[in-house]
Amino acid sequence: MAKDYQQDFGSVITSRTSFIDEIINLARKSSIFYLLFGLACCGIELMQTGGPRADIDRFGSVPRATPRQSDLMIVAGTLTYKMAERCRLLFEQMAEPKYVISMGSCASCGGLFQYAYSVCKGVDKLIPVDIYVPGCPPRPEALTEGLLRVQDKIVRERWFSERQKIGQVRPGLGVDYKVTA
Amino acid sequence: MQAFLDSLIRNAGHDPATWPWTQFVYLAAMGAVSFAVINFAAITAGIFSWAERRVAARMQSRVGPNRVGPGGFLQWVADAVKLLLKEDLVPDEADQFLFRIAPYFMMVGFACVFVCLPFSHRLIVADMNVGIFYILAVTALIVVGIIMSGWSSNSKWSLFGAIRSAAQIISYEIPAGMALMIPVMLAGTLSTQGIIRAQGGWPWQWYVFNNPAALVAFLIYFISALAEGNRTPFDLPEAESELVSGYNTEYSGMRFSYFFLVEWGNMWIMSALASTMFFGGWQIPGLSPEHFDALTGGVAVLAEVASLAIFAFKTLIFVFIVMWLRWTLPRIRVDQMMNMCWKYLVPASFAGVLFVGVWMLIVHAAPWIGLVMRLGLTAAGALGVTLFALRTLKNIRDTGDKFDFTSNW
Amino acid sequence: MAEQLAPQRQAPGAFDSYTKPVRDTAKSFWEGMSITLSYMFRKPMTTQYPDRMSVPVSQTIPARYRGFLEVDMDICTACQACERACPIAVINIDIVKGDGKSRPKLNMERFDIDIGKCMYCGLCVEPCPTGAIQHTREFEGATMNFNNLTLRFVPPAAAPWPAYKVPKGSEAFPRRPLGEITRNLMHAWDAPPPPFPTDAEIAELDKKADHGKPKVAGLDPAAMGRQLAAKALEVKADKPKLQKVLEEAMAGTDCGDCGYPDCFGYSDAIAQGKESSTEKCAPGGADSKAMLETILVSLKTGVVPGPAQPDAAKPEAASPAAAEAKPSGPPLAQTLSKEELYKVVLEAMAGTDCGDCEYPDCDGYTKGIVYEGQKDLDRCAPGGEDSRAKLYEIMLGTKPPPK
Repeated sequence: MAKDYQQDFGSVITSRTSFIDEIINLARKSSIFYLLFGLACCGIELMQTGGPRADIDRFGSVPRATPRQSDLMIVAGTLTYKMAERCRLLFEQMAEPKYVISMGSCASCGGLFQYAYSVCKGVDKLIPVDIYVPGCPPRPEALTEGLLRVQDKIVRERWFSERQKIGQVRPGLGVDYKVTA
Repeated sequence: MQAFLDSLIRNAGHDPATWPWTQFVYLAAMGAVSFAVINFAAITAGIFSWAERRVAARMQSRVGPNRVGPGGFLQWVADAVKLLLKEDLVPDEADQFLFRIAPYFMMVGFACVFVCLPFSHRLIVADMNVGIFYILAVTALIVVGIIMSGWSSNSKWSLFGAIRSAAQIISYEIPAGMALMIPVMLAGTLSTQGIIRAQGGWPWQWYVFNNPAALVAFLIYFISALAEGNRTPFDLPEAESELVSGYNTEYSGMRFSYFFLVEWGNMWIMSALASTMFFGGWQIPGLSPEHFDALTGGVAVLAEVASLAIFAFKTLIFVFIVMWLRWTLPRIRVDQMMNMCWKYLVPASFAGVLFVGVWMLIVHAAPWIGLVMRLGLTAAGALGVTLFALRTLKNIRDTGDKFDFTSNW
Repeated sequence: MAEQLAPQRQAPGAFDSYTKPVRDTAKSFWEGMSITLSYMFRKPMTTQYPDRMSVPVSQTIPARYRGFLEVDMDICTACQACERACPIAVINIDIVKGDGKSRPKLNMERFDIDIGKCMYCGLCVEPCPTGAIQHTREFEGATMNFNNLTLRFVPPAAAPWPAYKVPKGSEAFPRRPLGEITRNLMHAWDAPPPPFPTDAEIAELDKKADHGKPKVAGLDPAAMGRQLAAKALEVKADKPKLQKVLEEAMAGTDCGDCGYPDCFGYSDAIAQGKESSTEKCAPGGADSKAMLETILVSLKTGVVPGPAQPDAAKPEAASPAAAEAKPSGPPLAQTLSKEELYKVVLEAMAGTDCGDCEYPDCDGYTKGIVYEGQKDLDRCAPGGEDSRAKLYEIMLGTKPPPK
């Protein structure tokens, strides 16, 4: 992992950002439009996150119905194999730079339905996931924290050509800057 | 504008008719003015997007964007920077040329309206004698842009949205145009500044309270303007639950931001037009346009700023009402939309034009009838606003809540 | 039919039906717009997580909220009841058995909970005999790496972790404050990665590791004992060198518990043959004792004991009767007295007092088998196949039937 880390993520995550990068990142992190992609019960909690109590709009995140205009795909719920094709398609329709949150156990690894014949064992088998939010389903606050993590990631990035390259080299791999306990 | 430039040239000691550089001065002034106008349009549209999100949030008991800048005011800058930096996707099977050019048609149709839109007593790009006619004409360019974008995207959602939009905008142009004819008849001119000058500073001098037909005409104009601007409850072309995002479904990044900008910029246009035609525009109460013209020196500048502020205030109130309506009403069905236009608004606007014709004859014969009607309608309007405010306060108190606008920002 | 029943005078005329939508519109505008405006002038109900809240969100969550799981390893009996209760195999516990002397009888090599997969149903909390596993009110675990969502309650450095032995008759168990452990594990993810050690630091670490304090180095005491024994045999004649080898087997804390002023004194006394007790090194504990014994035995015999010896010899030594009984027919149940049989049977069980056997504890189940004629020998879940084989061997003298 250490070698991969250096190779793939070193230049994006650990490099210093210039002043102009910081301004750009400040704007980008405050305007994360998310794609409405509720698949199961997590979708309800996703709606609640946009609702009055949690109000993700405070961070400049509004839902968009079309993938072309969204920056963040929140995969909320059980991803069946049939939906997996659509998920991949929608992700590919999004414009760079794009991010993915895998919300809840089912999206992260199949969760409760892991042994079901029809359920995809994790959305990271299909598309690169940036943030995993645990929970079944996660509280709105937990999803908000996931969004803040995406913001953390954005402010560390240099401009997205680097990122695009990485997505092609290692799809389906989150960045490991945390240390396991 | 031209007169102003001519006077500048004269002050410099040249004759504008014979001086060889006159045309260059005109050209430079045109460039500067169009730059200023487009920037004004873009910045107001941006600020409205933030304001709309805050208003929407408050009405839904939320907070809204409050992290970028004071109270989230710079949210629109963040949105703009992000949209400009995003990848500009053109679908493989789209009609590349039309797809790329469609947003510019919308931008042109939108920006051209500002030529005839007054801002204050002297601040107007060109006070054309066919102002209203010009505005109604160039607004139609937006439809062309919408249909182009819907067709060229090669997506069924886009096409549905575009065709709905075309049907809607063309239908509603008829009642909107007829309703605008009523102030035109009352003022006897098509020039926007002329219509403002024909009104007065006090509410009973406004055309909206001139006679019952004018009041109805204002309502018809407002409804039609909502429909033409694709605002809720007429946002059928972008109906998210039915058509993904309507005609702009396939647009991303900067090109999408043009659609974005036109939608919010249109709010200024429709509101400015409403305050121009029906609400006395920039007129300062107690200061007639003739006196205004005669002012000189610092007082003139002060009055100019005051008129600008009054006009902006009236316009912003209508902008707020447009936002307020959006978060109050659900979207109506296509058949309801068409019903409303052809069965109610069109007949009512025609009847209104006839009524105003007769009314003008009556007032000409007996001016006191006009005065009584104006004062009566103004009082009725004030009563309505008061009752509405009381009703709102009662709504707050009935739920055991209290009036609180400042906390939890 | 319906038209006839409806009162005729309320049937709308043409004018009414034409103006009704207008009236409805006006009325709904009046009502609706005043409602939305009234909300505009009220305080929004948003709780501005995470930074602008009057009360932290963790305090607004109900006490019985089912958040991330937490295990207090200090009171975990390693009964694996939670692992068995989990319907989707979120909990993984690896058990290693010890001999009960140099190492506790029941140890956990691993206690992992995959909260990325967990469905927060609470089924694991219910069977826990000591309340070691609980739901906390923690919910913030967003991470960039899915592997981080596996909570390792046995820190890899501290494995194997000894199981908690429930004192007889205890009702309440001391538990650390709920949420503390999980929170620490979560915060560990956020910590920046430790800097890479320089070459000099690595050399320093190597030196320290070489010094070989029995506890600190974390080596297998048996293997180390054999190493030291081999060294001791080489320098058998040279007393000062032998002393050094012996001192390596001790904790090296110079605590003076052994009655000598320091480790040198104790090890020198053994080397000189003045001291024969191997039990005096208190900080070294069982490990030191075992190592010293190994060294002394090998010094006496002149042979280093084989690697398999301590493990292989002990179970047989623990139950010599079982070893005798094996070849011949009658099972232990028929040869031993009830008291002796009770001890043997109790020995065969996992000893976690988990209660899965429907007896309150292991003691109860053993009494049931020995005194009350309980025929079902399959009930010891934590002991698994191991315990089952032993019980069948003891009670029936046969191999257990396949499940």
